[in-house]
Amino acid sequence: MKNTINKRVKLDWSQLFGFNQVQSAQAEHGTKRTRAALAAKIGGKPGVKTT
Amino acid sequence: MAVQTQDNLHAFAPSAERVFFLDQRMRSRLADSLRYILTQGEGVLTVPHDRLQKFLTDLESRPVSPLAFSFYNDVVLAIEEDDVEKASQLLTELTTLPPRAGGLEIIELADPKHDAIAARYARFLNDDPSISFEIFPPSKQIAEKCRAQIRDAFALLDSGDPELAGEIRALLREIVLAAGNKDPKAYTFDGASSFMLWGAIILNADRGDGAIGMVQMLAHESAHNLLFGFSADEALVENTPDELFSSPLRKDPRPMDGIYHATFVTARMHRVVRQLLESGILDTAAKEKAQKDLAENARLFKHGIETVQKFARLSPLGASVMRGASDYMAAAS
Repeated sequence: MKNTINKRVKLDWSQLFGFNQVQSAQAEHGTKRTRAALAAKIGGKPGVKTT
Repeated sequence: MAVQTQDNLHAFAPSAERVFFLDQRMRSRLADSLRYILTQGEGVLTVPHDRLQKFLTDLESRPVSPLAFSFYNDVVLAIEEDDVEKASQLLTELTTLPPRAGGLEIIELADPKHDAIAARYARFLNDDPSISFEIFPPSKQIAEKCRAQIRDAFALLDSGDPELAGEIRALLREIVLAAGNKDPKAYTFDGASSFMLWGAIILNADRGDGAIGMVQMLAHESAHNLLFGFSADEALVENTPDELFSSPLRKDPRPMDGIYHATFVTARMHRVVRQLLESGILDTAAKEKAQKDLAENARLFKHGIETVQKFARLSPLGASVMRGASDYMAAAS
């Protein structure tokens, strides 16, 4: 469960669609980067990324 | 609506029927979560309750703008930052999204520098801090050419793979045409999708690979959306996001969730090309490109599935879905 101590609105991420897939240890960091399942899927053929 | 069993719900073969179920489930889960937020925020969040209740009723009964999911995402993150004023504002904005008539719309991205909705699309596609790329409105000429490619691609699908054509139309509400950076040293993109833009795909409209290429791009991006729909209640992959692996479709190492997606969508691209070849509707030039792409998709799938088999920790659902792709590829080779 996400740590919501001292927040005005307390949310249990296990109750939230999409966010319930964020693993609890990573959720503590509270960054979008931790949400691999929710991250954009950006694709193309190999070589698209040129740097 | 037909009853969905685990077997036909997660089958590799395309089906519009099961997508209606997935879409309903995604909207239902979104409505449940919004109601949970309102309950938790009672007395703290300032929202137009009547409008929000009407929005929730509509949400459960008919297709909705992909942007609704993105607003929900931002509401959760605003509450996470204890910014209840922003969360209240976002919930209020959510109720103003226009209803969707249904059907697939092709729209052109406005300038993210001057248009809040365009900026929203751009932000959701650019949420990985390890990379950064620019996204622009397409020129009128490029957008028109891309619209023609999409029309040609759907004509091919309707004749050669009607099941996939139906599934794509059921999955997608919006195809957003955009443009990338042309600097050869810059990051760019071919197409993109996001869980929190359920039903939308963003395409780089500046493309030169014709209808066969567009067919594969539609199969690719719609397959990402299909996987998002599968994973409404359960993750497909249990690896942590900081474990990075070689990807079949990107040069930079990616989390296993991205490898899983890339591998699955490559099998879907292989499938549609094979269907078109077997349908006999392709002319000589298209057949030549299709045969080349078929071999390339098989090679990329092999790359991806080896990484998945070696390193992935899949949920039971994730294993079942990928088994469908693997069984198809084994039977096709």
